[in-house]
Amino acid sequence: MNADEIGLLDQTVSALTQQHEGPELTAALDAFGWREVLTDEPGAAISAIFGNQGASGTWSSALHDVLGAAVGVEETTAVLVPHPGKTATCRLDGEYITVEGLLLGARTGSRQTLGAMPTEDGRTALVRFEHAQTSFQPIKGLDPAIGTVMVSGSVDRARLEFDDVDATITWKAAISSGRYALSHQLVGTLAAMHALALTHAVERSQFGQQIGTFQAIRHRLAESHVAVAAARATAVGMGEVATGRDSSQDDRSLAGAMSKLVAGRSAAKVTAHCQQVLAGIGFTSQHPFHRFMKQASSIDRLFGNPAELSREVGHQLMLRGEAPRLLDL
Amino acid sequence: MPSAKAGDKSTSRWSGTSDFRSALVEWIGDHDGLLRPGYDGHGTTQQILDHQRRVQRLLYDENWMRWGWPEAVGGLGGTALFRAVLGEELTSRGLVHTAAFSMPEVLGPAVVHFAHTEVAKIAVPRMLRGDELWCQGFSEPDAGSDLGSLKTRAVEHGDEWVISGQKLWTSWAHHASRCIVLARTEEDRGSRGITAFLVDMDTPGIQVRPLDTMADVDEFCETFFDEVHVPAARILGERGGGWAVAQYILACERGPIFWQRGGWLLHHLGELSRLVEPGDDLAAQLLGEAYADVIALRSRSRTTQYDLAEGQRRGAESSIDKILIATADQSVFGVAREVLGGMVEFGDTPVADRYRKEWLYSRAASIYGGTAEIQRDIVAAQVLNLPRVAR
Repeated sequence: MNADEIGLLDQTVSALTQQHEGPELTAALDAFGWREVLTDEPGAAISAIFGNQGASGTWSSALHDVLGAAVGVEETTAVLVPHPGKTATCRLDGEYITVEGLLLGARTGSRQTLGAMPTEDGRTALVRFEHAQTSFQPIKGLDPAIGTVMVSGSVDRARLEFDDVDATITWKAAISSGRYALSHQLVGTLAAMHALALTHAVERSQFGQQIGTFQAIRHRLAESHVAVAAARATAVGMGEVATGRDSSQDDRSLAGAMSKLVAGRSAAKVTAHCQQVLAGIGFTSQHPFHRFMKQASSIDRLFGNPAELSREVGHQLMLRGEAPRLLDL
Repeated sequence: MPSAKAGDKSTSRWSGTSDFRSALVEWIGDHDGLLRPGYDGHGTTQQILDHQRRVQRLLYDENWMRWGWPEAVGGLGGTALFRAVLGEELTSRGLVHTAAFSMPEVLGPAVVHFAHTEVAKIAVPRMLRGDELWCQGFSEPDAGSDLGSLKTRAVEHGDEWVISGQKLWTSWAHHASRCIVLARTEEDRGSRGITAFLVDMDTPGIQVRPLDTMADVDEFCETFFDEVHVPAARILGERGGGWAVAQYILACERGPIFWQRGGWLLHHLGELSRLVEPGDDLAAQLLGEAYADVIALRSRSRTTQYDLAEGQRRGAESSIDKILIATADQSVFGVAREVLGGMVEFGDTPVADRYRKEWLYSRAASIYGGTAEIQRDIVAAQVLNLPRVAR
């Protein structure tokens, strides 16, 4: 894809995310042919869709599409997302399998869910459930726009269909693409928060001056800008590694984690600085800040929060005995 | 078997940086014994510079040091990315010290760009080959962040200029052959009345006094100019155009140097990941956090390297890179201090010596080359275009 085509893709998706949200946005993306772009140009597709979803504070089934593509299932099967703090969605309890996972705006037409389960010998298996085998509980949560559903249940092992008994690498790749996608969505939400704070700093006056003339405010906005720039550059750079055909499996997985980790570290800074600059008005629900803040804070917990990701990455470095460059000139 | 010289006609057209890099990496592998520092621990300034001169001479004679520099000044042409790659491959193996190896990148491009052709033709090759070290006479006792208020004066005297004043924080002045000096040539014109000169350090009237620092590294100096006569041909750029030279140099400081410093930081993080106890969760988390800061810096800096290679010089935007590198630098060596379990404070082994000095030196990362506060001011005013009035 050349720069013009990427620009056009971005423009088109930007318009769609501003006009639609939820299942309606999913339908609009389908009509546009987003899943074909995801197959052909995963890097460009993910950055365009998730970046624009973040910028407009919207949500669709795109995350499930990305996970589905990574594990290779059709759209009628929704891949369960691990609950924050967990890395799998199923566990073996004797003759039963306990399911606990999240659907985050899954397609309305889905009939099955796919869970990831650690096996006794330390691998990961993928297990398929019919919807009727588990219970579904809609969760309002911090950001209702995400359309969260908690899936749980206990299913007789004998009545289950195992998709893949050794999907360790596949599941790792799915987690990595989920992280990569969400890092782009975080970048979008952070940039949106930053833009709101910047506007406020120019429009709001106190002590007879625009508050953007005060150094305390200027430095917060400068730091916020630097944090957004760092997260964006990292999402783009790590995307080249995470979706690169020449990258090793280990590097791809590490790149997905780094993309989300840097975005998460930036999110903490941007959220705090912008909230403080926006002050009173940013605390009201009439101002749009809270939508982005709630979405960023929710996404930040998925597929590893900054502390969990740092620990995971640090252990990787210790195992490899080096700090990989990941990027070359 | 000796590998082909990097500048031989048969290999002179690199198809790209990866081609250049693989040939370089192979050459480094074949010459590890010659490139590795002979001292334990951090090394004194004298040891670091002696080693670097040897390395630079070898690199120049084997042509590696010449790629990415214009042919008119002894280079072999090609993209500036070659210089960034060379620096990275050396620092990421700990073969040269990043601070000392930065010098050619800080001052070289400005001399190439602003000096009289005859001056550049003689001076630059000598600097690249390590025959000469250069230094930078910018800061003064009363002109730190407020560089435009500098007081060193240059007075025209026939076809010479006479410079008088005091510079501070002049790195390696006591080892340097030449210095780029910013001096006021017009009164009361602020940043517009400043001119840049390339001054030979053996000119009568120059006195250098090394400064003791808390990092126990005798890099910095006070440099005194007492009626120092400099030929008019040594003006860099325009008379009264010193501010543009200074801005150019500050932009250069954020180019290939940041890329090689990123390699230096990864080298230390890699070493730390081997030094800590396997399975230590807290150490893992801290290392992961520092690695995140380095990867953020490298992701950002990579886009800057590409822009520079295409001839686009970033102005205020480069303050973002500067903030990220200061953050990453302090993060890596701050984490080193945490995970090394008291070694920095209570150890005297070579490893302890290195990390103690690097950690102490890193405390200045948010001060030198423009403080963290000045960088944030620049981003706020020139990148975000926030309204100005109060301070």
